[in-house]
Amino acid sequence: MLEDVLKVLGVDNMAVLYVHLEKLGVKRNEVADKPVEFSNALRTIFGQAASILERQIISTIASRTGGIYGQKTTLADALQKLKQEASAN
Amino acid sequence: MKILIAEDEENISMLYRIALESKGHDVTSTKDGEECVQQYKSSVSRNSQSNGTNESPSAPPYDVVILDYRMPRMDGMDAAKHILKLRPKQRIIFASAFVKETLMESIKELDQVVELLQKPFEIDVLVDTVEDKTIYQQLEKLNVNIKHLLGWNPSHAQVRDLLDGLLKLRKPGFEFETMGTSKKNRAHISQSSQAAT
Repeated sequence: MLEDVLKVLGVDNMAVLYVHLEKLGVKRNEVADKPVEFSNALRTIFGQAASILERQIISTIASRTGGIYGQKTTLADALQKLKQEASAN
Repeated sequence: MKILIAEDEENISMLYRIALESKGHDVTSTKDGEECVQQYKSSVSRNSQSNGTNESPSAPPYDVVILDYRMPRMDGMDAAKHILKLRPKQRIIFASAFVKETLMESIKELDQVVELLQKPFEIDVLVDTVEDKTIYQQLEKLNVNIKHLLGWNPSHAQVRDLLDGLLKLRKPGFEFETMGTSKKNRAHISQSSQAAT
C-alpha cells in the first residue's frame, strides 16, 4: 500500500527514499511499527509535501480496508486499524 | 486557481486577467496595494465565516497574489507585509520593472519565500510561473508521475517542497538532518526578454 503511493515519485526515487528513510531510523519493513517516526522522516525530507503523501497513504489504506477516515486521521491511526483488522482475520 | 492581482497600470492588469482567465483561473484585480489588502482582508473574513470542512481556517484565501512593486497609495512590499501578517503561508509573486538586485534586497525584509518576475516578461511566463510549469517539468524529468500527482491536487508549497526533497535525495552524499531546521528567505526569479504589453 505504501509503495502504491510512493511509486508515483518514480521507482528510482522510491528506492533512494528508502535508503534515506533507513538513515533517519525507519527501515522499509518497520513503517507499520514506526508510523510517527516515518511521518517525521517524510517531513524532514519533503517538508510540506509530506502531508499530501501521508493523506494518500491513509486514503489507500481506507480504500483497501473499507474504512472511513476523516481529515484528522493520522497515519498512525490508519496503520493501527489496519493491523487490528489483519490480526482479526 | 484563485488569483489576486494588484497592478496600477490598467492595460497590464487587463492583460494578466485575460491570460489567466483564458486558462480557467478565477482572477480578482485591484489597482493598488491598499485596495489589494482590503480585498484580501475581505476574502479572509469571508473564508473564516464560511469555514468549510475541507479548508483550514488559516489557509490563504488565494492560491497566488501577484503584486506590482511600485503602486500609488501602498506599494507592493507594504501590501505583501500586510498579507503575510494575515496569512503567513500566502504565495506571493512580485511582478516588477525594478532591477532584481533592488527587489532581492527589499524582499529580505519579508520572512517568507516569495517569487520575482522581472518586467518586461512574456505573458506566457507569468502563466507558467503561476501554474508552476517549471517545477512540474523538473519533476517530470525526475520520473515523477505528474498525471497522478496532479490528481492529489497539491498546493504550490507542496510541489516546491517535493521537488526540493527529490533533488536532495538524488544528490550524492547528501544527508538529511532531523527536524528543526529553519527555512531561510528565498526568492525565485523568472525573466524574459520580451515585454508584457
